[in-house]
Amino acid sequence: MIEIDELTKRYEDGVLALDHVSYKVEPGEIFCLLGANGAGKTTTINILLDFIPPTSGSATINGHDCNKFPLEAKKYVSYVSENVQLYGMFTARQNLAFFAELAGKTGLKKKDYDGVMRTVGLPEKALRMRLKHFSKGMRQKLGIAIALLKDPPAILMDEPTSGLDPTSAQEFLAQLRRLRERGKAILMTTHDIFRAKLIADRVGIMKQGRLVAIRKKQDFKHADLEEIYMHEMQAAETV
Amino acid sequence: MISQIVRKEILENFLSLRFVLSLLLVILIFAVSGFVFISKHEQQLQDYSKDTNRSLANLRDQTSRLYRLAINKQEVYRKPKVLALCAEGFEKSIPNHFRFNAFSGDYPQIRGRTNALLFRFCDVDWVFIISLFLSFGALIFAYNSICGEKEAGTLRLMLAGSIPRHKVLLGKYLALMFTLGVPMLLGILINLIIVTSSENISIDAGQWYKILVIIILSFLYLSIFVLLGMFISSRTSRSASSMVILLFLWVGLVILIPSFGRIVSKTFQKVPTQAEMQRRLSELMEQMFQDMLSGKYGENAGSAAPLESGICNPPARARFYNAGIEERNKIMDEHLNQMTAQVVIGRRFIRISPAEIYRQACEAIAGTGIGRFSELRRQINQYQADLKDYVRSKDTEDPNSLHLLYDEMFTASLWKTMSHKPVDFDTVPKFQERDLALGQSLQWAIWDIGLLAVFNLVFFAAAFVSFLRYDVR
Repeated sequence: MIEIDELTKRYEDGVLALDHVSYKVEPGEIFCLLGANGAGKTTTINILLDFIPPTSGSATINGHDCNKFPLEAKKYVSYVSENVQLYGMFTARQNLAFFAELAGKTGLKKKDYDGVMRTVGLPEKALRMRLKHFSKGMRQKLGIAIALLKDPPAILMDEPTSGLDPTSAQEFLAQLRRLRERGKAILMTTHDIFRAKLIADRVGIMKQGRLVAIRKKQDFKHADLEEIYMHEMQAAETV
Repeated sequence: MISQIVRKEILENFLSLRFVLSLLLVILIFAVSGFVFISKHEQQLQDYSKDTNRSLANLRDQTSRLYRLAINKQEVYRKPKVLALCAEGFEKSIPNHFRFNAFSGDYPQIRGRTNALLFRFCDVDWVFIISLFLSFGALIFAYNSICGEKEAGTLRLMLAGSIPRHKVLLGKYLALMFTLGVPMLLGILINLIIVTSSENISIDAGQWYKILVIIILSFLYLSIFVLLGMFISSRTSRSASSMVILLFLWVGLVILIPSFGRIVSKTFQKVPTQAEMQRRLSELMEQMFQDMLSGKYGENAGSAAPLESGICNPPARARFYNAGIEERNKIMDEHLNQMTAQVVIGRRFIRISPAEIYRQACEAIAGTGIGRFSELRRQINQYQADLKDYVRSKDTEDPNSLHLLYDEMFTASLWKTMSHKPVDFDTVPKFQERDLALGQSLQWAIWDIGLLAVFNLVFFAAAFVSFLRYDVR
């Protein structure tokens, strides 16, 4: 569903943000990208969303090149950012309706909104609340709700659990599992090794633009992922 | 997709405090402008009516003798324009009193009951409100249209969807125009309701069409500032930076550049003072007197002795007087043309400001610009020619007349150089200032309308290219 092939990005100032990175995220899979700041995780997301062009290589979503046919590619993906920022003066329902309509989902009824709010764990009355009164956790859930309303086969998440309290983070992970069960291909960047271990089917470890390792669930299910991460980082440094 | 963006933007703007404040302020100013205009215009109409009636009564008196009709000067007053409501233009500055006969005229003057010191108070016409307040309002709404969404993080989320950037830009532009259009149209509507509620003020069909054109021009003008705001907003990452840059540009375009007009005018076109013109006229008269004495116009041209004396020469005197009038008219016309040209040069230079282009376009449509003065002079010259033709045609019917048409009352009375018979007042041409038709007004404004369109295109292209390349990260 999401395919990164020899993706390279060198910025104008010469910084190599991505260095021949390749991996795939299949339907029904959660792929977590781990790495320190500047490892190239967000750059990957930015290329997938056509916010920046790659220097070489390709990124495709559902077979559509994100750089050559970005609008076509973006039809099949939703995006949840680190800080879901929506229109504070609008109610949750107005925000949902706006982004759903942008994604071509018109004519949604009250039950559709109620349903998606229940799914993400937000009370129905929150639909009438203005976003400026939402906590960060509630906004993250609403971000998921927007993604659900669009109902694409792929979802990109950039540090989605950052800043969430433990309860909200747990609820968020439960939501991710449900999305996986519905066959969504989820690419999630995170610093949070603990939660990556809980949720990921595979993890990719990035360092200074390089994908230094990919580990499957069975590799870290009964092991300490943090140890694996540190080991791979040190190994990459030696190389 | 554009409609979703438009709806969202409009809703967001309408919910903002800046919209509520703009709406209240603009409506208040338009309403005040309406009341001020009524009080001023009703007075002007009353004065104009009184002066015109007096002038017509005077003209009727002169019809008792044809030569008196030809030589006695009649007074004409400039008609107050109802469309000064939209664009006051040069209404206060150009002469409103013209005194002339069939041969020549006095130097045009400004007359009125109003205390001249009151001219210092600015007229809050539509052009003033829109070019100043609403153009600033356009920037207040547009300055964060792109970078504000980037700061809030919503632009990233919006563009993560499969919506082309040009649609986002177009949607935002249309919404901003609608947002600005609401206070402007409401204000204009209230202003028109107030003005038309006056029994003494009426607006005819032609004027309604002109008002419509001025409203369209206003949208064209505001669109420039909306696009400028969007352009700067898509060149900056922070709303504060965008606002500072736009404030700087607004002051330059709306206030600084127009104020340079006077300097440019005075630098590039010199106009002699009225005293200098009078001195030139005196020198001319002296020269002509010398020419007359030297016999240039014929024997005894200077003599006003009775015909029976045999020492007078009416045709020579007519040549002398007509040559003098011709030269005098030429000097006065030249001076008035230089004055007009001085203003035109300055106004052409400051056309680099959209505010000034808009002002000049509206003045051309309303008929209150500097062009009105030239047109009024042209109409008066035409009327003088018509009156002269009328006098000539009536004079030829009188066998007792010498049929010498020139501007001297004494000899006209003494020698009967023109007929002394009465004429029918109803057949005498009367001066009536004609308003330009919409088509002609549009011709006058065509360059300004073109420039407004060019500004729109340039800023739209700039905003478009800039937003396509905008880094939303």
